[in-house]
Amino acid sequence: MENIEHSVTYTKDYRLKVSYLKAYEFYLHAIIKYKQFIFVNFLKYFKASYEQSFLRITWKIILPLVPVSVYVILQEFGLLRSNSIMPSVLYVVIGMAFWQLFSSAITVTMNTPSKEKAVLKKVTIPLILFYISSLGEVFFDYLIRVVLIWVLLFYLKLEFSLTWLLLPIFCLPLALLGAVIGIFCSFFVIFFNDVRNIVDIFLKYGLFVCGVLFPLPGSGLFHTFFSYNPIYIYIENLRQLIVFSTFNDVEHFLYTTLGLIVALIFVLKKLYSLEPRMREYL
Amino acid sequence: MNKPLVRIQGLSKKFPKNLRQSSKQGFAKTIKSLFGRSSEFTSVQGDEFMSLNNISFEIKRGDVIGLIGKNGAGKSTLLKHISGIHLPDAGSIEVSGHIEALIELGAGFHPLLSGKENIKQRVSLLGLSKPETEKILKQIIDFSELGDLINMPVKNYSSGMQARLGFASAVLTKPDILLVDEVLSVGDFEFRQKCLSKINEIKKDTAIIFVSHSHQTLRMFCMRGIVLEKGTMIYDGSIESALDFYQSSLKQDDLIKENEQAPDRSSVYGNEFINSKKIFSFEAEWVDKEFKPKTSFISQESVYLRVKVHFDLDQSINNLILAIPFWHDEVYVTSLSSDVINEKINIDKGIIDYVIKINPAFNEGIFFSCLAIHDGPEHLVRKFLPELKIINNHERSQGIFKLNYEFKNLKEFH
Repeated sequence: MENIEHSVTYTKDYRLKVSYLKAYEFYLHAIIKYKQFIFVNFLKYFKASYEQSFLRITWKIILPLVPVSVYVILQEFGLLRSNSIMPSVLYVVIGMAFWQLFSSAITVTMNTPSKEKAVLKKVTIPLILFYISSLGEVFFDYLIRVVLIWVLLFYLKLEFSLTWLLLPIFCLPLALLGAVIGIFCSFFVIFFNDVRNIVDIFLKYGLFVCGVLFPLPGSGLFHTFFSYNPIYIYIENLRQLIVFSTFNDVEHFLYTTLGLIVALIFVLKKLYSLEPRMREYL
Repeated sequence: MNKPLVRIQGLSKKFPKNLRQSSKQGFAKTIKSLFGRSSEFTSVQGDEFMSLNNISFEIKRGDVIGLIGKNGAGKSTLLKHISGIHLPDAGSIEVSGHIEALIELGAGFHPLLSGKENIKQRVSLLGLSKPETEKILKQIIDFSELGDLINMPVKNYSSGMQARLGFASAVLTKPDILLVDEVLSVGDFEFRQKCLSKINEIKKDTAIIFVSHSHQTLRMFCMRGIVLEKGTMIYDGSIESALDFYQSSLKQDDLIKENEQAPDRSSVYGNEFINSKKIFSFEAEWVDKEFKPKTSFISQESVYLRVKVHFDLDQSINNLILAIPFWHDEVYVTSLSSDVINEKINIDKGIIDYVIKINPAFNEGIFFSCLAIHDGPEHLVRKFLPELKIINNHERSQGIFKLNYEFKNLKEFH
């Protein structure tokens, strides 16, 4: 069994027979030992993305502010309609915030191994550290959106609810779901670029079937299908929780969360087993 | 007891020859691993090649090993296995300690970030406390001698500056195992010397594996040499004996190659030519002082060339000139000429039988040359000579020629 102090015996598929518990223990030690690296790497992504721009970090606010402003204007002119009892601008803004979080989590985790190829080909530090660093930026972007949602909630003069304050942690299920899908895709994207294209198509058009922009049918085949769509379940339930402090469908929410935890445990263990192989084929 | 820091046992690795095949294989292995199944090691198929074949050796702290071999012999692949980038298909590699790899020194730096930010990231990999991190950062910045430029984005660095940063970041983190892959040829002379001196300083506490085509560097640092050929370890011994073994295996290879096919040399060295109206026969060969044929010489012995030419007596030849230009690595380096030293070549009954003696001057290497015979400005013969191989006599040497020089105190000079 390898330890974080670089004492290791490399053999073919040497991580394959390691237990789930040992794999998580390894990751836990890695995260504790390399916490500074995670932070420095997060700063690196953060700085690098705006290093060559004039407005720099201001873009982090401008980019999410523009669509929110557009939706507010459309609402004011009565162009944004919805069959939900929730103000349509709030419906769209919250839906988009969750969708952006989910899609960014997929994209950054899926692309992290290729993006960090030069480092990963030189240093054998655990790949999970890079995933965490890159998710840090996704979380930061989400926090900016959270602030905009708070502003919008006050602007719309809705009655204050304590669930508003929980908005920052509401990101967890969707961020984890995105990360699980992204990490799983990253196992294959290094071999075939087709995976990246398929994910891109899904992320471009998936928002229309996940209750992001408009409510989905309340009955019929479509309704049955969406009641099992984990993204829809999370977006719809969390949105209801924020605005009305109630769960829309607690049963499906819990089942989905249970499924997500199982998927997370599985994917992280597989990441541990496959990481050396991924590094080799990068 | 000094335990091995690297122990390699029966390491074998094969690679597909093309990218598509490589992707397919990797994908298949990934799918198998997802189901908890290990991939079997099979013999080499038609579209694969054996990159490493049953390699076994150990390295302890304080050992400095030179990996010797031609391009494609498996040297860099072996380093990548030790650093954990590649996994073996068979066998095992046991590694204990912190590894640093001096491979492509500039790689891994983010171009938009400053040198300081990049090394901060590199140092954060060590998991040190904040004061320790600050201390090592300062040491790296001082060693790299980049001064204020350390705050400039790396994209504006020259390759030499990136190499400085890469070298300092790797070596000053006090690795237990240091892998050096042909990187000490970058940067300016002064910094290169500083790097070599740093490696010399840390070598007693580190296990170092050197890959270099410079035999001089290998001799300077290594105590042991491992010769690889097509992925197989064919020699393991002292660095001197390993280099000798490698040289002799090169000679054998060259002989085989010469027999297999004559290379097209005219594109580099010009065309061969013989004026058959004026010359009946022509012979030229490298010989020893007893005039016996010889193609390999020790670097500190004299080299002789015997030239025998039969001329047609009916043709008048007024100003015979012999010239021998030399090339090294396809670069023209010098010429010998009877004309330059005002040596008159006399034809005796239509024959010249001359020996040209070259005093010890060549350092280790393979020299290519040709014999040119002129009658004044007119070309009579231009023929390639057999390759002249100079073997090192275990003395330190630099460059391709040994100049005759001496160092003296000014007081003793006259």
